[in-house]
Amino acid sequence: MSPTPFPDLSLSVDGLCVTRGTRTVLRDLGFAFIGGQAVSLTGPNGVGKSTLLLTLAGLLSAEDGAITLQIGGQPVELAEQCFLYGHRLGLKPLLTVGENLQFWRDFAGNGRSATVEQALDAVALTVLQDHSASILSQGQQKRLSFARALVAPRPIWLLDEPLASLDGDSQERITHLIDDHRGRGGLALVATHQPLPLAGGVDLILKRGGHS
Amino acid sequence: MARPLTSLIKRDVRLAVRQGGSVVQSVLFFLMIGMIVPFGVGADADKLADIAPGIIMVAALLALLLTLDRLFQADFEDGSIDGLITLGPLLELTVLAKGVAHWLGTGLPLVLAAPVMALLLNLPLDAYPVMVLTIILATIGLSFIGMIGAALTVGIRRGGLLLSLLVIPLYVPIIIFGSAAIAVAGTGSPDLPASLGLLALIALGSLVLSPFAAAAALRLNAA
Repeated sequence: MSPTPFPDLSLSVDGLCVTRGTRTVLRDLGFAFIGGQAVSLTGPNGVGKSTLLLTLAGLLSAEDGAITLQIGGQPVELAEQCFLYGHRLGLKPLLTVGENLQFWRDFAGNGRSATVEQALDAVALTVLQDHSASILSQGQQKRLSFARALVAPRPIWLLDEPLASLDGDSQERITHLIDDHRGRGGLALVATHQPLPLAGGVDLILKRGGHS
Repeated sequence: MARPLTSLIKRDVRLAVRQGGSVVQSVLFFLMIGMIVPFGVGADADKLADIAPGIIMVAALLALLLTLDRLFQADFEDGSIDGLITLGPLLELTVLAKGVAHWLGTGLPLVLAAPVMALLLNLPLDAYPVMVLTIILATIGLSFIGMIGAALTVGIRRGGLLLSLLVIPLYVPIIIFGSAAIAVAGTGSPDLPASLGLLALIALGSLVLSPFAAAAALRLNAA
């Protein structure tokens, strides 16, 4: 993987309110993180973990509040710096495993992009490169989807349940990739129900009616 | 800037080709309308030639309409749309590329099939060149105007019918000027440049403007 570190980044959110339909999901949420941190975002179902990630990625709009991202001291648009990994995997079953990744590399890659071969190797899918993505198991699909983060590198990873339905080895691999990412100065926000086996991780706990 | 867009066009065309013959199906649908019309109006060759321009235009509209609902829906269902919005270049450009790919996968095959259609309907031979040009311009307009409707209805399951209700009224000028152009083709009528010009204006206008509308609609429907 490209060892080039990301420039210093800081993300701060202040007084964030997000409404979905008629229900206010997030109310007056605030936090600040810097590059190199891996944040476990925990809380009961329906408390707004995914909503927070979607809002940061710019797919949902906030009712109120300020989201500020600074990279190298300059304010930048957050949505453009995010890799969002969620319940919808963004894979095409009609393409091969390699073609799927190659598309995302061509479409969203940059100077830091890993090659398709490197990315497949990192998620242990090399042997399936020329096979149709339709034959992948659930866990393999999740790993392939995650590999997009390596061919389209962004400093901020917004990960929704990245370890769910993965076997022990794969969980270790993904955890390792998250660790690598923060090692390069990237920031990872990980919505999860199982504690991330990462030393020095930070917690952000969402509670109903208030946050800590 | 160019590579993301060409890679998206390449991917979408490849998917259209691999999609179990969806390209072939819409072309066959187009031709079948031409085959079924004589059963309704009788096999009088002159009568067929008279109504051929209108039939060709309406058939092209219907064939293209059937493919519109998949334009963004597939990316929406599998979640590719999240990546297209967050990882891509400007969404308007991404949407433009999607429209180009849609035209290559559905409009262009209809252009190639149009002479066969004209043969079925006994269109005079000297009208063929104008007819092909008309179908090129018309399908561009149909694809790109339809794209707005496709983006608006992307979050709706079985939104195909609503999509048709939304865009068919917008297609009226294309049908009028397209049929008029084919009808006067080869007659040396002075009306031909006007009809073709207006059709070209609609095609280019939709090419330029509809990505903005479709991108705005996609952002609203994103999550």
